[in-house]
Amino acid sequence: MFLKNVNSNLLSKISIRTRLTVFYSIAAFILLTVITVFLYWETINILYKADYQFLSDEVESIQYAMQNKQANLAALKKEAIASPTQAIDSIYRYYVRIFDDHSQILIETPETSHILPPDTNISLTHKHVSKKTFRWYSYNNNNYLLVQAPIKYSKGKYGAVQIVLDISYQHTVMSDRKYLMVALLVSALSSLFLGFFITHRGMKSLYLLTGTVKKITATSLHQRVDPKSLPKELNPLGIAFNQMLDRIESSFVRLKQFSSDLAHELRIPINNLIGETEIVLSRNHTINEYQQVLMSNLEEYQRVSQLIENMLFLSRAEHPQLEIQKTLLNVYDEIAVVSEYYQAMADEKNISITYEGKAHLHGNSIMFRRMISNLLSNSLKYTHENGWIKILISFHHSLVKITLSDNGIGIPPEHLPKVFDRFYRVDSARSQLSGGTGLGLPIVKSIVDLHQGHITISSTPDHGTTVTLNFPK
Amino acid sequence: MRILIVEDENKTAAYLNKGLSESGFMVDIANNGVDGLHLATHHHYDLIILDVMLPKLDGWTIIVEIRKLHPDARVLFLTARDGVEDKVKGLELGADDYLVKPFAFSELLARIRTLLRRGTSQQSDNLVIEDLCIDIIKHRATRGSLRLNLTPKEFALLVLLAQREGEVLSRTLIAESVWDINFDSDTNVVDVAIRRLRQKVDDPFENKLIHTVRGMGYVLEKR
Repeated sequence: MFLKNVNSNLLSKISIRTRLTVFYSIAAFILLTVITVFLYWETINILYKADYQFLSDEVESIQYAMQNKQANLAALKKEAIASPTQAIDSIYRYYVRIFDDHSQILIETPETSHILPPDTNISLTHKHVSKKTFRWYSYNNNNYLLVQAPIKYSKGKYGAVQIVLDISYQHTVMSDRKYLMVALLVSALSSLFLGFFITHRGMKSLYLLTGTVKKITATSLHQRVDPKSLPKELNPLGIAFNQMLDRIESSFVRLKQFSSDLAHELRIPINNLIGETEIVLSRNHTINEYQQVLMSNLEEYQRVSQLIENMLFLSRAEHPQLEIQKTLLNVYDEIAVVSEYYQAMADEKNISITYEGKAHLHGNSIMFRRMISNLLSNSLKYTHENGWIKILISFHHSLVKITLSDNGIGIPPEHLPKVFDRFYRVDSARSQLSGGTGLGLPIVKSIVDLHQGHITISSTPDHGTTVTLNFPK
Repeated sequence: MRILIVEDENKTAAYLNKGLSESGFMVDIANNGVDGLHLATHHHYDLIILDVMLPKLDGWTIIVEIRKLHPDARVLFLTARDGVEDKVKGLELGADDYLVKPFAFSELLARIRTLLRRGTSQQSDNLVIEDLCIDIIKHRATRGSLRLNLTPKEFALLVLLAQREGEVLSRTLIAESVWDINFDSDTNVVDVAIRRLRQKVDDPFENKLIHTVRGMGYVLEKR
């Protein structure tokens, strides 16, 4: 395990180009070596087979000649002596020697004794040469292949024949492997260079992609990679990269929008505070007037304080380590508590709030109530007098579904995707009047997220809005 | 009634001192943990208001030390640490209440009064303020000879105001006590509820009992 880790670390440090080049070359080298060795052995094999075949043929022809022209030793001698001279330019230079049954040499090619060591003399007194045998040997720095076979040289008399083939030339050729080595080395080196070249070509689009990506900074987030210019393998990467940039850009824009909105939200109450205080301090006023200013200031402070509280809630909810305490909640009861709270307000506008259905879910009671409260508060704000708000609770497929609908003024479709953005207001003038901070729905969204739930909102202007919440049980 | 405030932020300590003194309490102030613990263990206080983050000695340690000597001392934590686990820790260590900064002074005052009232006198079942009579057990409220027709929540709201006669109650505290709404919510709802209660309790009569304290909350008293 440890070794494996070390290996993979080491491997990951080497560039893909180097790795591929090395792998290519090693593979090519192994392949070349195997093929070369195989061909080499095959060539040698064929050559030796030819040698054996040649000698066997010679033996057979001598055996045949001896059997049929028994007494014609002179003719045989001529043939035996003539053969090597005929083949003087050929690589098949051979020598013949025939023994009688008393181990005496009957015929032999001249100089045969020079190339055959004494130990090749056969002693036929002890035993007969019964079958054809082959033997390799070296003598005086030359290599020979010797064949030995029984021979019937006259009626009932068995001797032996020896034929020696000088294979020094072949041997020299086959044992000189220098060129082979050079050829192998050259091909290994060229496979290294070729491998490097091919990999470099292959990786070029990756370097191009890296170059493009490097150019993208916070100020040029609009730049994109052109996936069409990338090869097939890198195309998905380019597309995925562009999608990531889209997401980063949109959250970047949102963040910018958010911080400028936050500054704006804080500026209004602070401006009011400064202005009012400056004016009241510039001249002497009655106690009553001072009190008025202080009370007004208090309201502004409370507004700022509420804003901070909401911001804190949101930032904490986004903290990935946040763990909320959950208990089993009776959804109907929780909604009843919040609805009762808003009852007086609903009565004022003669709006009916109804809720029905049964379900339980694991959640944080305070957060759950806050979520329902924010939604109800919104609905009440934007529903005309004599309107209605309906909450339906249902449970199926292990999902708790809560639908909150009203017949209020609704939200124009172009605003719908943004209603969960912080400080986003459909109509800023109207919201200022109704006293919202623009954080109500973002808080709802963050609570839903903390409960692994899902929220959707649909609306028809002048007909009403429906918010659907889904929670796992 | 003597109150000890252990608070290192001078401005906070100063306005708490001012506000509580004006509400009729005797106030001592310590601006670090060591002084706070010394005062708390050598003098008798009806209530100790404790910050958590203090120089020299933190609030967690102080409350443990105080509890060793005076198990029945009343302690209220007043801190910017608003995590639920901090709140739980404070209450587990023996605090009687836990209030998070920023807070409304009226709310602090209401909580202090609740704490000081705890265990002293039994809440009476009948409340009488001027010509307003409330029978808590029978769920009946009358003004003069007129029976007030209140919804259960309106009745609970009136009882809360009457029990805390003369105290300014913040909207948050009202929402918490009457509707069990323990979070920062749309407090306009409380204003609407009070307005509807006033229509029934005050509008038909000459002398008004429920008064608005601008920026702070509501109070029920004869004026």
